Amino acid sequence: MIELNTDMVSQQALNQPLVEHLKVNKSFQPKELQALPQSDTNESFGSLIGDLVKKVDEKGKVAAEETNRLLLGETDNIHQSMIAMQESGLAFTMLVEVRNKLVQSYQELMKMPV
Amino acid sequence: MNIMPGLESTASALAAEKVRLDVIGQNIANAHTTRGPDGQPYARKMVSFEAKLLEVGTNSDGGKNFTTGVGIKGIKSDPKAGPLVYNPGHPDADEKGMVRLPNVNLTHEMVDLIAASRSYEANLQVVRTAKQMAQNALRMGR
Amino acid sequence: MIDQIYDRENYVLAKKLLDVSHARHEAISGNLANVETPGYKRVDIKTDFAEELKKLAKSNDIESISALRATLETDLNSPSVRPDGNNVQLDSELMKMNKNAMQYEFLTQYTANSLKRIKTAITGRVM
Repeated sequence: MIELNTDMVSQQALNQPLVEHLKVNKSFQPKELQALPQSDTNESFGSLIGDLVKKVDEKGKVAAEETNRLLLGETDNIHQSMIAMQESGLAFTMLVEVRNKLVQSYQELMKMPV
Repeated sequence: MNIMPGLESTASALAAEKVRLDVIGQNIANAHTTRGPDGQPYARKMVSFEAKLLEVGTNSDGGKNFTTGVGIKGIKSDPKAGPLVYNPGHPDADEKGMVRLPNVNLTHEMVDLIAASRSYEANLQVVRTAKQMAQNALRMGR
Repeated sequence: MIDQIYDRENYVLAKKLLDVSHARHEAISGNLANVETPGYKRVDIKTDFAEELKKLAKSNDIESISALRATLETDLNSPSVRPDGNNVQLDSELMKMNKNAMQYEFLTQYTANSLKRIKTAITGRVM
């Protein structure tokens, strides 16, 4: 799934409005890239990352709420609290890994001689 | 913070069974008491249980969770008269030489004792299992 | 993106069954507490809960599996062994409790393993 992200990075980088003023149309893209399924909604990469952060935050909130209810004695479902904590921790780890890979691929892109 | 499931009902059961064991012990100890503080032979005591609703907290819908525990309804004396025994030399013998013994039947009391201690053991096992379950849940985080 | 990791059927089923097992332990401890109470009828998870869960699992509807609730009901079918109407059998109840504890342990192991596998996939490092 991480590899798919970097493909999307390069694809979105090519489709970005910043490059559009160079009038890069579809025929200049390599054939492999044209063969990839294009997203119809044309969401920018920023919204994808924003979505991810929002989901991770939601998971964190669910975990915090479960633990709060356990601490206040409203429930004795300790396993739900443990599972929620683990899930939110994993989601956060995934966010951190995605960020690391993005930074890494950005640095690789920057190293490319233009 | 309720970590172990089902502890309230078990705690109430352990307390109730302990009261029952105490009463049985008292009955057995007084099995031959022919004159009590009121002048009468000892009357056997009986414990009666009743189911009691205990609140264990709210579930995620906001409704309250209940579990059924045990409560002591009361400790009553058994009004049945005990056996009359012919023993004219006894200090408590009446004019005919008969002594009224308490209505404690040792066999019945022993059977009750075994039942009460079995129930007590079972509830201890419940507590052990609940602790094990909670430890399993906590190990999930490691 | 995050939700798809956790939406696998077995994992959601395991989480739901953990709730059920927990509720069942509470019911069984209530039963064992009242083993000597006259007139008490034992309480257990509703008997058609297993069927409902199986139906939902076949239909692959993750949301409704999570929304399903285990409810307790009075079990009137169990035979009454005492003259006072109490239908709790001590040995059978203890056995059910032990089986339930085993199931709980299995479910926690399975959930912990799933989470560990996901963590290995994300970080790329085998713990």
